[in-house]
Amino acid sequence: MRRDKIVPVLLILPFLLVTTLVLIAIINILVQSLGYMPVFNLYDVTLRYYAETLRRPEVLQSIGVSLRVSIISSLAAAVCGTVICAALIKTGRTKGGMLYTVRLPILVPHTVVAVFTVALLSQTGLFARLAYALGIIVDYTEFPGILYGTGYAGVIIAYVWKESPFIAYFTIALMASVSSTLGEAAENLGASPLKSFINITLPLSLPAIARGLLIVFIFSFGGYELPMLLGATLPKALPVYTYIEFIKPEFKLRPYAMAMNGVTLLISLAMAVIYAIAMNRLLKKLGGDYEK
Amino acid sequence: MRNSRILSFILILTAIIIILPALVILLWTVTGRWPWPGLLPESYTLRTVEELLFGSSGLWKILKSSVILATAVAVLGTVIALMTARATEIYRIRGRKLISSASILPLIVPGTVFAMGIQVTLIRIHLNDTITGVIIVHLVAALPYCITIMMDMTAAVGSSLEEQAAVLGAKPLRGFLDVTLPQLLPGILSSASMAYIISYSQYFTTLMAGGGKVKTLALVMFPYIQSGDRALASIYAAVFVGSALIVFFVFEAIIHRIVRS
Amino acid sequence: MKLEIKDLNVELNKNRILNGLSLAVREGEFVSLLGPSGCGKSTLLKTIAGLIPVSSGTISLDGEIINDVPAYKRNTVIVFQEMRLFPNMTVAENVAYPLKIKGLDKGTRLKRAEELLGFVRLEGYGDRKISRISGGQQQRVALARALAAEPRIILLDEPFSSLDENLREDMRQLVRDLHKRFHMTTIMVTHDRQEALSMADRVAVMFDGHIAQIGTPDEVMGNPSDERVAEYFGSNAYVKGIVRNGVFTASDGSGLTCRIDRPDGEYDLMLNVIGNVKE
Repeated sequence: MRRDKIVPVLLILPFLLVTTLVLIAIINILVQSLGYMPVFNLYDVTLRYYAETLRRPEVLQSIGVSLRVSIISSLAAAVCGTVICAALIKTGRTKGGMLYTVRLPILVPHTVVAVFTVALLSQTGLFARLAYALGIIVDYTEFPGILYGTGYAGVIIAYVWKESPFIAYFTIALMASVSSTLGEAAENLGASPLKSFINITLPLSLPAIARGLLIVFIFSFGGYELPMLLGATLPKALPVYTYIEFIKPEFKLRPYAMAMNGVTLLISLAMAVIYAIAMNRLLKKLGGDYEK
Repeated sequence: MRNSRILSFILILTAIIIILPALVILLWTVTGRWPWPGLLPESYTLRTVEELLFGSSGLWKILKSSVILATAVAVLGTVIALMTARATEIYRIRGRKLISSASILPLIVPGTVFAMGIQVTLIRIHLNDTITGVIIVHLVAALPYCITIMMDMTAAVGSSLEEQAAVLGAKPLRGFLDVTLPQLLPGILSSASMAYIISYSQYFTTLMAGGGKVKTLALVMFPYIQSGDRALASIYAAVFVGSALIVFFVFEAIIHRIVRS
Repeated sequence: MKLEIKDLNVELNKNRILNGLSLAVREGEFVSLLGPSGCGKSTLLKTIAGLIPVSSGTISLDGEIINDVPAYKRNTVIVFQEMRLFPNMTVAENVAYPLKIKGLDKGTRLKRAEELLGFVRLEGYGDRKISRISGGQQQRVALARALAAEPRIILLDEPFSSLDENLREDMRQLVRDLHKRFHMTTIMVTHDRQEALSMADRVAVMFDGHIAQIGTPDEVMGNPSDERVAEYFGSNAYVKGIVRNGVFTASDGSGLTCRIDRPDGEYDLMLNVIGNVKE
């Protein structure tokens, strides 16, 4: 074989290896969730585990909680991230100190975000103390239970804190280039900065924002640390509940945990498909070969 | 300029919201007693810090293993991403579209799902509870970002200079190392720094693949947060953010210098 | 609309780009801005349009100083070199965009857009996507869109540089026609000497951020203010004339004739002065 045929194949091998691992993980989940586990003498392929799992009210509640948290978090992060991004561009702070500050939460892992959230938002946290000092509350029990509640407000706030900057940073390159060319042209034609942003810069930046939104959605939907540390005891977020089922020692229960993983995977995939379809339409609307 | 004043206000508010928790955490690390409802601690102490940094907590060992692990992921992730990008962007390998779609697969499969799914396989190939196993699962999490960065960078740099070098008599690898690699360096560093941070931050995947035997900062601080030990949790958090920042700014400084020259 | 610029200084990233520049453009006049690349031509257009802030000096339109008027209220429209058409809108929507901003209803603005597309000879292209029309057509859409804004002054930034040579002549004619028809005050940046000399009422030659000379094509060519201007034009000269039976005769009465192997017709003869023949 000629050298220029072999080289690219060799180059792509490690990537294929890693991708194979992901596919193996998916196959493991599907196979085990369908009840095929030869190690434990389970050979019947059946949808029984999915059916039983989806009939359990705790599981349905978990799915509901996780969907709610991830939808609200990702939408809120997209809005905040877009505003931050626009503010950075419009005030000419696309590099330097302010941008570094905005990038900080990207460096902070979810475990540390949880520490931050507790320090600020718990009933004895800084904000509760401030409320007391300002005479808004007289006892810490009056401060709203943002953390550990069934509303998962603390988890959502923590995600928005961490992921808004991610979306801003993810979008800034595209938005800055659109703004400095087409946005400028719109202003030159008489559009106010706000109108130019809404008519031109925002729609043309949507591909990056939407991609960021999808990543944040799946991240918060499948995330373990924040709901584990800041969420309610019941209902649990889907990944937290799945893990509890997963580490139960009775091997016969493993297919149930895997069915829950299968559900998480399917919902994530569904979101990705919805995203792909929406993106296709969006790109057509934004003008033929805009992709690049 | 009313508009720009509003925008500046938004940015300053954002900066405060980002920085405030870090300041509170720093305060907690030296807090002796901080009873409700005081706005500031009642007494300060360096005892917990000393104990953690110089006592028998094993913090340095954990820090060292976290750094080694993250460095390995950064190097591997960036090398694999660079190879993949060369295959698709320079050699125009067949199925490029499929490859680039497949590269975001780990972003679509949640980390928790992947970690629980791959565990059986890791056990079968005897990589469970080993640092190699942890490196592999971290790699999966980091690779999509590395590949995106390296593909963009490789496409932007292109192969024209390499072709020029070849015309001048340089062997392919020589041409790549001499003219293309220096141009790719900023991308390589940002890919490495991204992969480093991602590996450094992993909790669930480390727990699953490492089985608690591979200890990292993110892992060991978890119980302290769960038990509500704010002082200890805060010190771990501070060490974590501090060390991540140092690595991040070292990378940024190098990138800055390269781009300038 | 009369444009007057006095002692204009502009700095970008601490580099002085425009340096004590003064320029007056009369109502309805067509001025070409000529100069080597990097001399600040495009910066001047953007500064007039309010896209780049003034460091010192004044810009006034009809006597009113507009230094602090934001870009979108100036009504000084640039036709950018790279056209900057909005890919998320059709051809007609692009042209109608300035009217949409003004709050005109959809029917009125699409009717007006179709009319403007007629002026630039693009009838029936309204529903096309921007990516589905050619470069020359895109350039004409950009012109029509600028006209739709009814600008007080229209600023053309190397409008033909991205086009093929044969399209370029076509576009020049179109711009000349439109200028005659609407009689709009126009500044056109170019680095093509021939284009500047053939299209404009007056030519302004720019070096290092200021105007070295401004005058009619004949004045600038025949009576350069300093050596740099002379050198800038010096190497080439154009002589109008007619070719009959393979012989070119200049029509300016200079008596210049020479043999040229071309079919009969009107020609511009380019003379290239190679050496210094003063001594």
